[in-house]
Amino acid sequence: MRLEAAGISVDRGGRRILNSASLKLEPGKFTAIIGPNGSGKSTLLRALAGLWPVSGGRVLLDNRPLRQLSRREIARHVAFVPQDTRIDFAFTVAELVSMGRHSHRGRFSSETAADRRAVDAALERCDVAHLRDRAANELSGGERQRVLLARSLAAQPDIVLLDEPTASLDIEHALDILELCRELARDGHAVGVALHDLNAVVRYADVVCLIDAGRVAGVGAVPEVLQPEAIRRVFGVEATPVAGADGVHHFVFERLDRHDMRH
Amino acid sequence: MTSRARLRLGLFYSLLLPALVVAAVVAVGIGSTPLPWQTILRVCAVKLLPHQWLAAIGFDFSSVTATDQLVVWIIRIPRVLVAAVVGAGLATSGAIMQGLFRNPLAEPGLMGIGPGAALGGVLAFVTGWGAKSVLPVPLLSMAGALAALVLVYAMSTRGGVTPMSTLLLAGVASGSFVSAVTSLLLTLNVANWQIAQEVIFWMMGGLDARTWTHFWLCAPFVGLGLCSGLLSARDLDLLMQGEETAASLGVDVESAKRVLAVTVAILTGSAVAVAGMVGFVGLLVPHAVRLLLGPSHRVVLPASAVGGALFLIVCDLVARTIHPPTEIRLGVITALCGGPFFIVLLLRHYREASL
Repeated sequence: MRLEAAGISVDRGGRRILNSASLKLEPGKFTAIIGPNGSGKSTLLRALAGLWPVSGGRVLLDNRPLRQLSRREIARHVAFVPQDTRIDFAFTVAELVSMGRHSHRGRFSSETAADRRAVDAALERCDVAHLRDRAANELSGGERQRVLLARSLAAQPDIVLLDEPTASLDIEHALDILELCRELARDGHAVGVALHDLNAVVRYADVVCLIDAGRVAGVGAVPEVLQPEAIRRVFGVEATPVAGADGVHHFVFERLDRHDMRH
Repeated sequence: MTSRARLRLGLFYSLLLPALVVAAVVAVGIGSTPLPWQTILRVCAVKLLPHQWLAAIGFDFSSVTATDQLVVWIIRIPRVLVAAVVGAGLATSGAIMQGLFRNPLAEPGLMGIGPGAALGGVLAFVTGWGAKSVLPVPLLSMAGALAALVLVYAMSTRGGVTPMSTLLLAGVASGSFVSAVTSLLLTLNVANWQIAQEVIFWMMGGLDARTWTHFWLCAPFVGLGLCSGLLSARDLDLLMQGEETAASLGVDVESAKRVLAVTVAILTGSAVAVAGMVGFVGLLVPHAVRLLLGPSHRVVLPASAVGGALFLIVCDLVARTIHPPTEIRLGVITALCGGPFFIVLLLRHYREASL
């Protein structure tokens, strides 16, 4: 399945925070959404997940307008993991992950074998099966992020959206999550991730969507969009590509004023 | 559910259900005329079983006097049953409120429901309708609970969306306003000591002179509220994760919140209707249950109902026996027993957590 934003605008509190943005999330592709703070990355993700209403344009799930689908139906296909991974209550990890099955369950039915299989598979996949009986509010940040990702995978979605999943993680756990997203894409999911780390984008993403002040400033394959010139325009920093040992370029960043002084 | 959690749950019910039965029998037995459990059993048999069956096993009908029947069946059993139902209703509605507001200190009063019910009841007293039959007080207080909810909900809803923070503020503000109206009515009627005393007693909560009518007024609504709560238990678990997360996992957030709010109004309204204002049950019982059994509402809601029933039967027993012949008001006892117990639970919890 694919999820598409077709010229969507989003208004919050009388202000337009996303302006006719278009983006297609294709199966098998890891799409990174990048842009400065407040540029509209999270808004785009929430609109794609159907959580925030759009005031113009349409979000389409396999060419069907998202607006016409029930919350349950959307939840079976589109998973969204918010940036805030705080867990306040002492649910066990297994209880928390099985909440991901909500959209597949009837109000009167209890847990089925299919539910259990999906939960087990999600726990395995995110490498948190050993934590299943632990209280989720006592986990570390990296474990929490993986548990919440497992919860959204328990719904067996086709599209997975993550809002800055690596923001509060140390480097090892951040790489874990990015690897996992990469694998999900390889397995045919359409993966959309808001990210700040441009070098992670270079290494992991297939497609990048660059957002600047509520508008899509560029979308396409990573090497085409992630040019020093575009980075300078949107982020206001000088990016110098450096060839890594494996031939993949990564960037070294400098503030523009310092860079100008040197030249 | 882990095997340990299942064991805890089994232990909980295997202790509480027998305790509930024992407490009920003891409560029926104790009073100004003490009655042995055999008498209680005999009266129940005469009232509940077909008389041919009893005759067939050689039951001695003369062993059950008219006085026994009056005391057991007309006076004490309805009172104990009303206590159980009111306790179950208040504890369940408290549990729902705490899940809905994601706050362990939330209680039914917060959406203006408790004060609304109180005002309804007081209106029945000051207009004199309450003195004419048993129906006006409960009916008006149920109406008050629902009216308060509708008002508060309508005030805090914009474009089909009801933010919980706005609901909370509107609820607290309306609650204070409604309570002030109640106090005003009381002040204006304080010259008529008869009415003022009734109002004051009712506002302190109590189960004196409760009849089968009260039971039947309350029990179906509490039953309805319990069912509706149980059917929404998973929604409630998800809402506790935050509304955005709940929505992304497939909950229709606004409709789930409406269903749960109406459930709280039905439970609280019907409980206040027959027992007056009884505080602390909705706060204490669900909290204790969560400490013992974890936060999942499919466990917490029924366990709170059982715990609330037991707690209120015991409190009512204490209320009417501790200082005879005067009855202490039930709301006073729940707060007196509940407060310290609550503090002990909290301290133990934090000590365990810090170890």
